[in-house]
Amino acid sequence: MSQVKLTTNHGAITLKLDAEKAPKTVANFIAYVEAGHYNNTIFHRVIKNFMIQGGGFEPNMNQKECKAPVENEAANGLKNKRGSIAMARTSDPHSATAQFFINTVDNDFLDFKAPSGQGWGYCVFGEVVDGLDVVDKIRAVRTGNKGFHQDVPVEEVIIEKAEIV
Amino acid sequence: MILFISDLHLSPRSPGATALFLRFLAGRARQAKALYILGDLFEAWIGDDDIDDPYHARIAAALRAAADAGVQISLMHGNRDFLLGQKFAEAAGLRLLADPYDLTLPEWSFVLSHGDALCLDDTAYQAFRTRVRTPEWQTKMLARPRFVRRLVARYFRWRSRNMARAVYADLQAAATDDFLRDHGYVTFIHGHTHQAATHDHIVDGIHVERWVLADWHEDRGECLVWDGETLRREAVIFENRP
Repeated sequence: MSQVKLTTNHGAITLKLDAEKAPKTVANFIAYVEAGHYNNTIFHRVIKNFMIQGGGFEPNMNQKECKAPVENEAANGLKNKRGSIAMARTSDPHSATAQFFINTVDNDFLDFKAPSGQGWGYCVFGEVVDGLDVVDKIRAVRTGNKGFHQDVPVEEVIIEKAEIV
Repeated sequence: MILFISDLHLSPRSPGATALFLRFLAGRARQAKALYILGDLFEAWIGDDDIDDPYHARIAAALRAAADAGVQISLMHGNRDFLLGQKFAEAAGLRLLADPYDLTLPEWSFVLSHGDALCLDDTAYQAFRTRVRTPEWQTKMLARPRFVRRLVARYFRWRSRNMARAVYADLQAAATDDFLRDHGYVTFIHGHTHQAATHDHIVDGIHVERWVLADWHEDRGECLVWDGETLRREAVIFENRP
């Protein structure tokens, strides 16, 4: 199974991706990793007892352009438990592109319930196998508002490099 | 339903606003019968031969796709993209509007403008505007090679950034009253000033509303929605969430 290492300015996070349960989502994520999309992006939304979200913005909250959205594979049985990685998206269930989040607590309300509207949930496609302490360091950073965005770390949390290991 | 937008200032240097606009055209805009773009869609436009630039071709194709899906798209020139011409209009499947444009619907009437023509207190800009809007100037400019036009456009942008902002601030009150009078006291919609607000004017004892459109940012745009009864502002925002 593929593993991806995110080197951040708080330390390294290693993710194990589940290509069997979430083939399209994993392929999508790996394509962004290989394209270098995540290098020098930030965790721009950090909510301590919820999740840390990143992969869509460069430092200074510059939004990056993304590829076409990927199908929502949230019905794969994987759960939004602490340490799992899932795709962020807009209100359209099948709109995930590059942004992902790592759950910092068990968030069962994000799991798939039904293939309609709110019930779709958020697709889990892997988990942290090393560096959960780094995730815990990131979740604890001080946050504030920046432009139209809330919960933005006051001091930028940067993904310096994302690579397949 | 009719949507009004302006001042997107799209360029390859604004990937966020570009992404917002492309998604807007593929999604929200398609629920509308018509879309009016009231100037400064692009940060700069040096002539329709620049449509072969991949960035411009992509925007034109996205506009065309929305038009093909049944949205009637109309575009007015702004102070940045006044060289947009018929060739672009055809590629993008839209029609070019004169500024000002009287939009008369069965249920209500509007007058649409970019708004820069009424910023009369900025005399330096008005002198510039008068000069560049003549067919002679435009013919001469469009005959120049593209790299020259790019440099000229860069110079104009540099100059406009360096001009005193204080006088640029808003439409001249007396000229606006005259304008509203000339257009039969109908609701006035414009952009240009980047100061989204709704103003109430009393002209000759008649109450007239003036809606100023918001400019677009990297993480947020705005459109004005006419639903047949009222105007309201709607955010164009595609935040990724869990």
